[in-house]
Parts: sequence; structure tokens; C-alpha cells
Amino acid sequence: MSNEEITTAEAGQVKIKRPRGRALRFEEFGVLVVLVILFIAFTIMAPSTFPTPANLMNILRQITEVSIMAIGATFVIITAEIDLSPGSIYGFSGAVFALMMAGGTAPTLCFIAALAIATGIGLVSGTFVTRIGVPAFIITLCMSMIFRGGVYIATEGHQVVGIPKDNWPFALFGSRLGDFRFPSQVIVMAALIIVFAIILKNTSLGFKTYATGGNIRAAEVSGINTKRIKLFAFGLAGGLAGLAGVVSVTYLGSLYPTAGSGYEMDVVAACILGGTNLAGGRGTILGTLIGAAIIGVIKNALVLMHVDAYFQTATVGVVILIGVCVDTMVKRRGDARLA
Amino acid sequence: MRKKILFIALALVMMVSLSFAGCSGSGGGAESGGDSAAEGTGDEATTAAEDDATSDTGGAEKYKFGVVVQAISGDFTNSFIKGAEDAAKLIGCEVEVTGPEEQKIDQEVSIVETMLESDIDGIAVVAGDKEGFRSSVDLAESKGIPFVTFNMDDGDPNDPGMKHPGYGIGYAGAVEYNFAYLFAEKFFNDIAPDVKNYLIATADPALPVCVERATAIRDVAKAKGIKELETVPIGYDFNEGYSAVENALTANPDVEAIVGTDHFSQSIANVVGDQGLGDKIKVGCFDPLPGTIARLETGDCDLIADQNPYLMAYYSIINLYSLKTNGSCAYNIDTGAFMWTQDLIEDLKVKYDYKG
Repeated sequence: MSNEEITTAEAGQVKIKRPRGRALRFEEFGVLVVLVILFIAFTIMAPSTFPTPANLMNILRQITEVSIMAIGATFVIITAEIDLSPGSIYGFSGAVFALMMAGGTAPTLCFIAALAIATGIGLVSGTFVTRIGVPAFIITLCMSMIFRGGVYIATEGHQVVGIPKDNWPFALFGSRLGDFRFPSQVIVMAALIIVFAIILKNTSLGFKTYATGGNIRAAEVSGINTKRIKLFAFGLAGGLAGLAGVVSVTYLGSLYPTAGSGYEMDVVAACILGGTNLAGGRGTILGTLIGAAIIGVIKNALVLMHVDAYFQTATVGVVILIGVCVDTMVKRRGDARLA
Repeated sequence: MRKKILFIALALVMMVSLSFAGCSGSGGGAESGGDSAAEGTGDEATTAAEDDATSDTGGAEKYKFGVVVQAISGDFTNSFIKGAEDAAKLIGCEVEVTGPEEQKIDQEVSIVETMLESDIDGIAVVAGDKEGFRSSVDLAESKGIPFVTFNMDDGDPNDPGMKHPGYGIGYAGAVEYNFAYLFAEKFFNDIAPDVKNYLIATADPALPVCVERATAIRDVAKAKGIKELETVPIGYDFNEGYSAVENALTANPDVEAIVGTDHFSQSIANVVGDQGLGDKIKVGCFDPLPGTIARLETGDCDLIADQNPYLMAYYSIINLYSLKTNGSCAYNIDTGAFMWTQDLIEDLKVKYDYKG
């Protein structure tokens, strides 16, 4: 939703238009073009390895954690805020889950505790932002440091192993299904994508989220409690980062104290590449998923094409830059056509 | 007033979260493995050493030594802490262990420089980059503070006897090239004598110590006519490493062996084990982390190189003490290399107090 869609009517009344229900919006179209081009290019360059079902399944699994975290981050960024703590929340909630599981606590309790703490951390960040006025950049950076330290304190610097695996969290998030060995966590990711895409696009909550980031003053005048919307976004981002941490523990079967370190950059990159506007008011869950997929596809394909290790990081940066440029051009053309 | 109350409430929430996790860590019964007594944080190491120093020194001068490691978390670091702590107890001194959150030379150099400005009597540093730490050595020299190194020495592989000419003041640890060479010889001669090709998986293909180890592995393989398919960067995160190894296996379906250069190589064994490729692909890893020990036990890893991190920090503190009291120290203490194979798993579990 763009700022143009929030218009001030006469007599001081504020009228907020809902985004039109196109199946595919320009935000997603531009970045989807990039993904398709990359897919075709990599299929031509590595025909025997890249387009195989097994490899595509690998890519899906590899983007799961970042995609789950990026759902929450998309909500936050759409409200014109930023969250730099998902990597640490991922590690901290993963540590809580792993340590409690290894200690023999009931799996359901471990799961609830990990998610509750993660959501709580997000809500604390949101409270600082909305009630006290601390810039989100600062508070989430502080939270990131506090809870990265929390991981070290909780684990005492050790890798946590000895986690029992015969339980429902491991079956739901960390198992491989059928002869294809399909990763169950991908199904969880898909479900979350669908649910939150619907929430963002078709519900009052999603509408208010766009309105808060698109024009906060207009939103407030129209009666939207923007503070509550932002608080929800931060809480959601925390909870989903925590869920991603749990997913990682169930898949790897252990937790290392550095888990999730640096993931916030991947998460923000996925959102921005997916068309989410850092200034707020614009972005979609589907776009974010495509953004995460682009990053995952590039990382995967560079290895398949035997690109030298020294060139891989730089190449990822260059391709993302090109992707953002193509996406921006497509959007501009789309906006011009609408105008 | 409301804001004050809110501040206090938020602070309480954070404290409860952290203490909750802390309780889980200490009381949860997690089998963290690691070095036999590798328990506690750097602060605990300092405290323990202080307590013992008070009782043992009997009024003699009590030195305070700083130890800067390449990354402050992880089982490898805990072994350093324990080694430094035990040595401090032995000689009656204090130790303070610190380091950057992740392995970053520039941050480590900053920490070393800060520590040199404090009231320490000597410093032991994991110096993964000879040139990067040269200014720190100069600073220490200008202040008359003994500076020794351990664990990593970045040197010329063709000059194994002079691994750290820039320091010249004591090193405790394996000679990287030689250590990796032994590891590769054991791997390609005994573990995987018939393989035709292999991959190298490394946390950081540009980190000097990883480069040196990879060079040694390549030299051994080349001499035996084994082809390196590629070098796979696996990063400092097991999840990221897992994905990288998965991709590498897709790109190289005929690979017969994968060898690591650091303790993040556990990712290799994780993927090989999870994909049921343990019989097809031979795996060599560095450092007996709890997860890697588990993989050796299940046969997903075939060889683990053990650098004896405990001894490295232990002898570094002894070296510093010797420099303070006698003005000299052992120039190069080779803490050796031990190669763990599955038939030695029970001994390995005892050494690292691994309970699974």
C-alpha cells in the first residue's frame, strides 16, 4: 500500500482506501521477475544439479528459518520501524528450548516457554519504542546484545547436545517426510506464510499495519491505535524469531552459542529485496518470501557452479544489488502506469 | 512517574527472562560435554584463581595475567579458560579471560590493546594473524608487558621451526601446518586410503589459520594424487554450515571424502549423517566438540583432530609466569596433536567428560 492510498478528504475527515485486491501486486511482480530470471539462468548454467527436486527441496529448507523470521520483520518494517534483534532472539529462545529439553522438561512446556520468552522480548522492544520513544534501531540493537549475552550465560559457552528427539516438536519441525525426505519445517513455513499473508492483506489488522507505516498521522486521526499496532508487530517478530530458533534446534539436534548470529542482516535483506519499504507502508509477505528465496537460490547456485569461495560473498552482494535495481525499475514503471 | 514505573517493569521482565535461561542452563541437566572440567565463564575462572592464589602464594607477589581468545564462546574456549585457571591456581596468580563475540581479528586486537592499558602483568593471546597483532606486540614491548601466544600461529609453511618470528616470546600450541599435515596424513593414509577426490570445508577461507591448515591438507592430498573438487565456505554458524555442505554435496555427488579445517566442520558430519552417507563419504573434522563426538560415535565422522586447547592456555600462563620471574620462557611448546577414531571413542568421552 502506498501513501497515495491514504487520502485526506474534505471537512477534516480521513478516508483510508483499502489496497486493491490484485492477485499479484507490483511489489511482488518486480522481485518475482528477478527470481525467475535467476532460476532460468542457473538452470542453464548448472542443468544437472540446480533444477533437480532434491536441490529445490534443499533450497526451500535452507530459507525456512530466515523466511519465518522475515515474516515478523516485514510487519515491523511496514510500520516504519526496524528490528535488529531477530538473530539473538533466535539464539536465545533456541537455547531456552534446548536446555529445557535436555533437562527433561516436557516438550510442550519447553516450546511454550521458548516462544513466550521470544514474544516477551519483542514486546519489551515494542514497549520501549511506543511508550518511551526510544528509536527502534537503538532498542533492538541493545536487545540483540543483551540476549546474545544471554545465550552465552545460559549455555555457559557450551554446545548443547543430548536433546531427546522422540517428541512432537522434533516431529513437527525437524523431521523428513516420505521417500522424498521432504523437510517438515517447510510445511510449517508455508502455513505461516499463508496465514500472515492473509492477515496482512485481507484483515483489519493488516490494513491498520499498512496505515500505521504509510502515514501515521492520518492513521491516528482515523482512529487507529498505532502504538498497539507497532507493539503487535514487535511481539510477532519476536515470537517468530523464537519459533525459527526452535525449528533450528529440532533440525540440527543441538544448539551452539553463536546460533543465529548475523541473521538479522539476512532477514532485513529478504524484506527489502522483497519490496518492503524501509520508510514503511509498503511490503508483502509473499514479496518477502521471494526475497528470501532469491538469497537462498544465489547462495545455493554459486556452490553448484563451483564459484570460488573467495568470490561467493561478493557475488551474493552484486546479485542482490542488481535485483533491487530491477525491482525498483519495475515498480517505477508500474507506479507510472497507475498514475 | 508512569515512565519510571514502566522502566522498572521492563527491566524486571528482562531480568526474569535472563535468570530463567540461566536457571535452565545450570539446573537443566544439559550434557554439554567439552573439556573435562570446562565449566564456567571467564569471570568464574578469575574468581577461582583469585581464591586459590590467596591461599597458595603465602605473601609472594601475585601477578595478574590477561588471556585474549579468538572468540569468547564455545567449548573450545571453555577448555582455554579451564587450562588458564588451573595454571593460575598452580602458580598462585590471577587470570582474566576475554575475547570478541565472534572470531574477528580487528576486534581481538582492540581488546588486546585495551587490556594492555589495564593493570595486567602479562598477556597471552590467540593470534591468528601475525601482521595484525604486530602493533599489539610493539605496544606490549613498550610497556614492558610480556606477550605470549597460543593456539594459532600464522607462519610460513616452509619454515615450521620459525612460526612466529614477529613474537619471539613464547608460543604454546600446535604448529598449524604440521598439525594439519599430520591430520591429513592420518586421514588419507588410514581412514580414506582409496578415495579419488575430496572437498575442503572451512569456516573462513581467508582466515590465515584456516588457509594454513587447508594448505597442509592440499599438500598431502596432492602428493597422493587425490583431487580437490572445491573449497566450501561453511561460516561460523552450524545452520549456515549445514546448508553449505548440503549444497556442496548436490554440486559434487561423487565426492568421496570431506575434510574440515576448524571446529565448525561438525556441519559436515551432521549432513553426511542425516543423509545416510556415512558409508559412502569419509569425514574428517577438527576439535572434539560434543556434537562432533556424538557423530564419531555413530560413524558419521571418521576422524577428529584434537589440538589440546587446555594445554595451550595452561602452558601460556606458565610461560608468562616464567617471563615475570626468570625473564625467559619456552620458545615453542608443541602441545601435540591427537587423532581420535571411532575405536578410541570411549577414551575420548572420558577425556572430554562426554555423556551424550
